[in-house]
Amino acid sequence: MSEQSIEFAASLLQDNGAGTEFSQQEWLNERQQEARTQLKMYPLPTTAEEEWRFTDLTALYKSTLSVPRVDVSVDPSVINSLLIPEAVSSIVLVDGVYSPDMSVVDEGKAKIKVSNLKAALQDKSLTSILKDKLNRIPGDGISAFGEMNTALFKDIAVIHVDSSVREFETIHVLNVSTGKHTFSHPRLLLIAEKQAKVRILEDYVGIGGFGYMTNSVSEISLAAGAQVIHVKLQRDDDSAYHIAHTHVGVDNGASYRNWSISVGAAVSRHNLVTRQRQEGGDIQIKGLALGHEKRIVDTHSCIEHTEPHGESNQVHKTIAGGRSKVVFNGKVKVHKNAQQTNSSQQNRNLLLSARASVDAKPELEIFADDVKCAHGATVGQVSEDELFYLKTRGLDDVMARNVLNYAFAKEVIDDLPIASLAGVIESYIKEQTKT
Amino acid sequence: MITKNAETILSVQGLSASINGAQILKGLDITVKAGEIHAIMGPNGSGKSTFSKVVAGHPSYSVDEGTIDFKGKNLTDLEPDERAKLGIFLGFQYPVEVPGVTNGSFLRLAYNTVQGARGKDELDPLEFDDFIQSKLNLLGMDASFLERSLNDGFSGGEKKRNEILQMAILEPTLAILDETDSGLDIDALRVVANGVNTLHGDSDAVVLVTHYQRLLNYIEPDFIHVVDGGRVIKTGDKSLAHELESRGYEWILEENSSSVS
Repeated sequence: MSEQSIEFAASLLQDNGAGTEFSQQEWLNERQQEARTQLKMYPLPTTAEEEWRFTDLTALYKSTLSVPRVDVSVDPSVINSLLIPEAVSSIVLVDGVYSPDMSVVDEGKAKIKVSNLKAALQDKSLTSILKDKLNRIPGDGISAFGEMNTALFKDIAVIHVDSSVREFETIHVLNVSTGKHTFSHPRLLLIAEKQAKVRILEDYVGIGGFGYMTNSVSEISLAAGAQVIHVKLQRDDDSAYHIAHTHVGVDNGASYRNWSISVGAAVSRHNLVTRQRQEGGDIQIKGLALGHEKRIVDTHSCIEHTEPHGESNQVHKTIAGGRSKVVFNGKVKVHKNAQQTNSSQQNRNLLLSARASVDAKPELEIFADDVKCAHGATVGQVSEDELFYLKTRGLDDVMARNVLNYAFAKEVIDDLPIASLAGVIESYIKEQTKT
Repeated sequence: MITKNAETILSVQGLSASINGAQILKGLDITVKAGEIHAIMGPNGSGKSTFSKVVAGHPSYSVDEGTIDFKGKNLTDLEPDERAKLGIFLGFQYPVEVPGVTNGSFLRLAYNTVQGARGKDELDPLEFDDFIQSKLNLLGMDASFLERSLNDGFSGGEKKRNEILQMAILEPTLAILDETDSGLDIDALRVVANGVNTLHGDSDAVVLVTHYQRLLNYIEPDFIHVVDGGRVIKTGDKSLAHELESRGYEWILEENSSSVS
C-alpha cells in the first residue's frame, strides 16, 4: 500500500511548473526543494498510521491525476454567482492559480493588501514577510500532504493586514476547481499585524471539475491583539478529494475565531492546527461536517496552548447519514508552562442511518497543573422526546426529523459573521440532512 | 360550561397503558363534552401525566386495553401528528428546547401543516405575522419571541406562554394542559390562565392536569377527577378542589381503598 502512495507522490512530483517561474527567488526554490526531498523520503499516509486510521486513501493513490490546464476558460457568471456581497476583495484562484480576470478588489474601499505570489515577490516588505512566514506557522504539524502542497503550489493568496486596519473588512478567497482528474495545491498566507482585524472566507467549490484533488495549505499568523475571523467552507464536488491543512499561530491577546464547514467532496480531511504561541490568546472554533451518501469526512483538530492564560473553545458537530463515514479527532494540548489555561471542547455527532459510522476521539494532553479543561463527546440519534414534541404540533415523522436534523446542524452557524453565507450553508444542510 | 346535549369530544373507556412493561393506567374512564373544562388531579405517580401522553399518542406507551375515542373516532392507531391534525393539543409540562429552529418559522410550519390537513388556507410569512400578532398580545409576548430558537434558553414562564401560544394558533378542539402551572409565578399564571379562558369556547374542551389546586382559582373547572393507581377514583365539581386543598389527597385514597376492600 505504501508502494502505491510513493508512486502516487512521484507522479505528482513530475510537475515541475512551480520552481521554474520563481527560480530567481532562491529561498523559495530552496523551500520547495526541501519539501520535495521530504516527500521523496516519506510515503503518503495510509490507514496503517494512527492519524489516518479511519480515512482510506487507497482509491486516491490508485488514480491518475494530471496537472490542470492553464488555458481553461471560466464562465464569469458562475464566479459571480459564488461571490458574497460582504467582500471588499475577492481573490479567485482557478485550479490553484490566481486569476486576475476573475478576482475583484474594491480599490476605493479596500484597506487590506491582497496579492498573488508574483505581485508579492515584487514588493520588498511582502517578500520578507513571505520569507519569514511561509511554511513556518506554527512550525510543526505538517503532514505529507502539507509537504506536497509546499513542493507543488503554483501560487499563493497573500493577505497582509497591517496594524492600521482596525475595522473588520471581509475578504473572499474563492478556490474553484475546473479539472477532470486533476490536482491543485491552493495556498493561502494571512498575516494579521498587531491589533489588526480581518474577516476571511476561504471557499472551495467545484465548477465543472470531477474526480479532482484539492490539496490546500492555509497559514494564518496573528500578532498581539489581532482579531481574525476565518470561515472555511468546503463545498467541493461530490466526486472530489479535499485535503486541507490550516495552521494558525496566535500571539499575545489575539483572538482567532474559526468556522469550518464541510459539506462537499467524496473524501475530505481537514487538519486544523491552532497554536497559542504567547500569553493570553483566545481560540474559538466551530465545526460542522455533513456525512452524506458515501462521503468520508474527517476532521483532525489540534489546539495547542504553549503559554499561560490562554482560552479555547471548540464545538464540533457532525451528521452521518446514508453510508457515510465521519471522523473527528480533537486534540487539546496544554504545555507545562501554560498555566491558567481555560479550554473546552464539545463534539456532538448525530447518526441518521444504520449504515453510517462515526469515529469520535477527543484527546487531551495536559502537562500543566492549574488549568480548566472540559470536554465531551456524544454520538446519538434524534431524541424521541423532541420528535414527539414536534409531532404533537402536527408535523409528521419525516417533517419532524428534517426539522431536528436541520436544527442540529444549523446551530453551528447561528452566529456566523458573514450573513449572506448563512443562506448558502442552510441550503446545503437542508439538502444533505433530509430523511 | 356544562351544556345539555353537548357533543362528546373525548371518551376514554377502561384505558390500560404501560411503558416498558410497567402498567401505569389501569382501567381509566373519562368523558369530556364540548364546552367543558375538566381537571385531572392526583398525587405524584398517580398516572395523570401518562394519561395526557397516551391521549396525545406518545410512542413509548402501549395501550393494552380500552378505547380512546375523539369525536367518535378511535385514536389508538393514530400517530401523534394525525391526532394533532384532528384537533388534539398537548401542552407539555417540560416543553422541549430545540436550538437552531426559530420559534416563528416553527409556528408557521405547524400552523400551515395543521391548516392544510383541515382543508384550510395556509398563510405566507407576512400574513402569518399579522395573524400571530393578536395571539402574542393575548399572552403578553413580545414579537422578539418569534426570532428566538424554539424554547431554547426560555425561562419556565416563557416556555409555558409559548405552549399556550401554540395552542392559540393550532385552535384545538381538545386541549390537554399537563402541569401548565408548574414553574409559574403568580403574574405568569394569570396571563396563562387568561389565555386559556379566552381561547376556550362552546365547541372545544380543556383538560387540565395538575397537582395543585392553585391553577383552578384562575381556570374554573366543571369537573374534577382524582386519579390514583392509574384510575379515576373520585369525580366531583369544583368544590372538590377546595376540599383537596384543605384536606390533601389522603382521605380520598383511604375512602377509595376501603370501598374496594
